[in-house]
Amino acid sequence: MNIKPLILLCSVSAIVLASCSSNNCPLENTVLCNYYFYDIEGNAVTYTDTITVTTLMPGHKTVYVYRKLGELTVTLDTPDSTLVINGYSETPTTVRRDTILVNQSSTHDHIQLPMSYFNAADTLVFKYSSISRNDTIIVAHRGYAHVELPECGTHYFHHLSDIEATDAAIDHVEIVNPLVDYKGNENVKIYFNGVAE
Amino acid sequence: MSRYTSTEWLNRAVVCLAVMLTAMAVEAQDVTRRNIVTQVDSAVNNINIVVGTDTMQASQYVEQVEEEMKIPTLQGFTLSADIAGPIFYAISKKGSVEAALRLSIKNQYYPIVEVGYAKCDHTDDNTKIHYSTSAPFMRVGLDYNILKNRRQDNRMMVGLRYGLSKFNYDMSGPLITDPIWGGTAPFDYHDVTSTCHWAELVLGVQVKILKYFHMGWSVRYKKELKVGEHDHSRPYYIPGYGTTTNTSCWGGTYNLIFDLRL
Repeated sequence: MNIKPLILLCSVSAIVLASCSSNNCPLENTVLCNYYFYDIEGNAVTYTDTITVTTLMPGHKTVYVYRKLGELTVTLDTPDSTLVINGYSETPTTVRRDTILVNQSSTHDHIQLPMSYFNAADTLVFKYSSISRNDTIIVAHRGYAHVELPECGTHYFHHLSDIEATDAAIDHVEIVNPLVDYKGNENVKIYFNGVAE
Repeated sequence: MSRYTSTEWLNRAVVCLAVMLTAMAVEAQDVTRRNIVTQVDSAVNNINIVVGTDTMQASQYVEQVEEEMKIPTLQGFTLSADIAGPIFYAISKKGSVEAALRLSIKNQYYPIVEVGYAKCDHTDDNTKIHYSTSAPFMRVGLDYNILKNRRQDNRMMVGLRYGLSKFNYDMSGPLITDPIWGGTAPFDYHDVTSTCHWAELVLGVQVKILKYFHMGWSVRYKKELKVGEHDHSRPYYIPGYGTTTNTSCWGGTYNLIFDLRL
């Protein structure tokens, strides 16, 4: 019996066996909105100031505001009796709940932030270490669940529709790529006041 | 990164077995044909044919006549059915039934139309995402017989196909929870419509097993041309194409073929 055809055909079948059904899920599969930093002239910059980003959450919480003449106002989530003893006045206040998304990031040319699944807009508060005022960025978006393949699970993509910002350190913001997915593309440009040296 | 389930390995074992069975059939036919040719050659060499006053050897005469004989343009039709698809569906819940009508032109060119009905019912063990569809599909294309001797009963084909399927699918999964802001929402879509186009490169072998019957296999390299997808999902299984794990994949058929000679 001639063995050559069998070798050929077994080789073909080996190719068939090895070809299909590989797992093709993305390795980087976290969906984050990418904000890149620019100066007012559009040059990419590395922002050296320390930035903390918080976002407003659904619902409210009670905070305790302590004031004293000639001292900085202190705001705490829990009451502090020692401040009252030291002459501060205590005022319980109801405010929107918030949470920290990025804590004291520094020396970065961009920042990556998650987006809410079911809210029509996210409110992001940028706190700078060297500036007393904060910036607030409001991002309007539409979120939707996406399944690329059943074995990859469900991811939540977003389509940015509008963005606006206050002007403490930011000159203006713009959307460059409205699709927020796990591919890591630049989505938003933040133009800070001033020109990079 | 590749990972195979036991079902997928079983699928591949069935394909491998089918290929080896065909190979054995080809080899058996080849041995038989060689024996017959040897007997005829030894007989023909001893026969001299007298034409007028000339005498020539029969073997030379037969070769000349064969070269001059024309093969008629229209040789007939073949009807074939894929018997591997239903087996795959029984094993893996992904499979099809399909039939093909092929026209033979000079035993060399074979325009072909393939129609079928495919079904998939799949739930991923890890993510619990479920996908199901059942829909018809069709392919049109052309096969070319690459064997030099086109008068013999066996064929080895290379060919091209254009495939099309318009289908609806269902996809559902567990509740989606926002880990930061909170809240949940269902992931549940029904009757999502999609239209997909693809191309195939085909290599196949057909071996005569009975007077009017051939049996054979084909290996197919498939490439997506256009897949109708939506914001929430893209089809996991395209009827006639297979799973969309990659934008290209391999497939195959194991065919029982009925010859309708004119």
